Amino acid sequence: MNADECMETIKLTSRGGDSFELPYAAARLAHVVRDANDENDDGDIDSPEDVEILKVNSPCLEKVVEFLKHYHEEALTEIKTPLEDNTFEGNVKQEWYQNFLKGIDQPMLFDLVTAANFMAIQPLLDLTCLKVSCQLMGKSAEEIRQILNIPKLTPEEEETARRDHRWIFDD
Amino acid sequence: MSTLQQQQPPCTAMPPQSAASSIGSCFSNLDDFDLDVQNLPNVANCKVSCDCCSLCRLPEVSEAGDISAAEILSGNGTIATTCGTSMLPDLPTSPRQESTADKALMRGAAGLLQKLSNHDKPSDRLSPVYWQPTVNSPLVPLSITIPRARIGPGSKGKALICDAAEASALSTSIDNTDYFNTFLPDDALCSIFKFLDVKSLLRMCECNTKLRSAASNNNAGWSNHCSSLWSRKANVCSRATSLLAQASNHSRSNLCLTKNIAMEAYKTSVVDAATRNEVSLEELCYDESPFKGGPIWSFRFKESAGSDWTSWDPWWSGKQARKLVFLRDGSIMQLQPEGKTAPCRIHNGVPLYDVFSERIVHRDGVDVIPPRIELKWRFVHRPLDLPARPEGAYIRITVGGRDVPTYVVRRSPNGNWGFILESCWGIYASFDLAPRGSVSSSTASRRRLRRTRNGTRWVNVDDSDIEDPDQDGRDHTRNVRRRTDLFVEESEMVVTGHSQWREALLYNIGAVALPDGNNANAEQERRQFNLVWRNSRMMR
Repeated sequence: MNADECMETIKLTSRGGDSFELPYAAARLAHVVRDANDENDDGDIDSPEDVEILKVNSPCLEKVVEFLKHYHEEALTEIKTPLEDNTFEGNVKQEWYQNFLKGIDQPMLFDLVTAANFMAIQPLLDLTCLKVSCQLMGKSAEEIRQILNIPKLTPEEEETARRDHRWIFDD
Repeated sequence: MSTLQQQQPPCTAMPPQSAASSIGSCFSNLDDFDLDVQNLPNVANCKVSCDCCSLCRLPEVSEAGDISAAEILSGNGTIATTCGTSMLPDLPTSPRQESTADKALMRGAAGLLQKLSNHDKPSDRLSPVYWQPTVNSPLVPLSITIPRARIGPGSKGKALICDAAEASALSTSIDNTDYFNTFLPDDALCSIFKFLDVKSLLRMCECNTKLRSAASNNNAGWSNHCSSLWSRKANVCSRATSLLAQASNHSRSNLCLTKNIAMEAYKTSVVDAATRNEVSLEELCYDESPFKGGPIWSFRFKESAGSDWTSWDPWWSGKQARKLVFLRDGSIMQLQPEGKTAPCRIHNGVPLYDVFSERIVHRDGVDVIPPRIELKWRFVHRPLDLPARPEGAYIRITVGGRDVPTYVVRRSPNGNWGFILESCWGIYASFDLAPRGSVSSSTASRRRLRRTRNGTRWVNVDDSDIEDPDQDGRDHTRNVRRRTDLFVEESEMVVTGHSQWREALLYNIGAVALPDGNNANAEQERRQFNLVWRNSRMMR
């Protein structure tokens, strides 16, 4: 049967052992699901099977499944670069997707980025990466270190980096 | 003779025998360690970075669910460090810089040894085992017993050594995020960075080495930035475009060499536009390639050229500026002239015409086609009154066999990276010139003034000298013109009759060739000028 029309459900199991059920047609947006079920080039599949996503924890996988289900109903409009706006809401006009990332904390956001990257869900990856990039845009190096909680370069490394990129900041 | 000490140095040298019994005799509870004590070789022979024994091999750390991880964590969490190092490793400045969890583990453990004395609570104290080959040798950490409570839950099953104070310091951030848990792989970072603008990307490069590597990568959106920037520019150097082409076509075999090449292309284009003000043959000539057309130059006369020239310049009539092309054989030709005229040659299917060939002269009440005016060009290195510059900085144009004042090459002041060839009488641009009448806001409020004939007053350029023309019926104005729109970008013109007055003077008195010195100094310039001046006077 054609995978796109397959309404059979499958379960995605998280690292914590929790399973989340969703239609295969929605789940196949994730390439890891498609690869695990060995779809052929025509997009046909015999019988979809459950997939274990051991790299993703339960709360994160739950959000991913929520995204996959909704995407199957309403696809995310492609985010074009260069960005028209420096804000998340300025680039994502669809209300559901704006609200999808509202209220989640930074660790969950980064977990979603990692999960989308691992599961090869391009729209989710674009959405979450856009959210992070809007947080970083226009920030100084010190502010970026605070947001990502990363340690500084040594003064010599920082001077080298600034010297290497003086050509743009001298404009 | 070394001994193994627990918590207190020093030790003496280890005898050359199986170390297993020696080690075992020093510890009250072998279960404190995960050492394979049955298979220990002679510890004294262990070298730095060797792989001879479990003491030297780095402990393996795996994900939860993995058997080896379970074995490591099932006990009291003791982790072995390497032996054989003669010095304690330096405290890591950034544990996160380690590429593998086990290296981070080892370095973290070694670093913690230096903090042992700082903890007041007995429950926080670690129990290291040192080995000292001789009395005067530095201590060699063999292993430490870490209370289970000191090992954090880890991220995705990885074991962490958490010094309480260190963990607290590391987790300090706006949102108290533990960076161990949120450390993103390079490809995910590139996915984030592709949405950033150029300056934000370069700020990333200043943060730390990992972000610098990811932000410089081709996948961080540099190709898009190049395309976006270059689409707004009249001229991009060929080196930058070829670099970007390499980025698009890089193969897996040379990935390491080309992974930052898109950023290099961007940088090359920006630096070239900012620093190079000479035009290359490729950027000047239309027929540089036999298979395609090259740059087309818009030309118009300046007002200072006089009405003899501006009166039949289409730009001054409100039309599009003349489209001229420079050819490699040193000639200049025109594209698409108005009026009836025949093409002189064809390049790549495009007809080329003599410059000014469309003009018609009225003579004795009849329109006649005037004689052909041949235009030639060549590079010169140092015109009169101008400093020596590299080739491509000055272009000498010959009109009808006579040199006209030199055209000085520079970048367009409007920031579009295009080139301007400017003399005191004319201007070429490598992009479309704004039509006459499109006055910029910066010049709209300016007035053009001139002195009256008697030099007593300033008046508008096209006003009469007479304060009240009604008082005197005669018009004493030297030059009356209708007010015209201001010369577009006039305030940005830098080559004037003042700066080229000697060349302009020589032309006006009939000089055929203008001086050009490759390395002319002031004396040579003066002699050349005098020579041409004398010759011109004689010809008159």
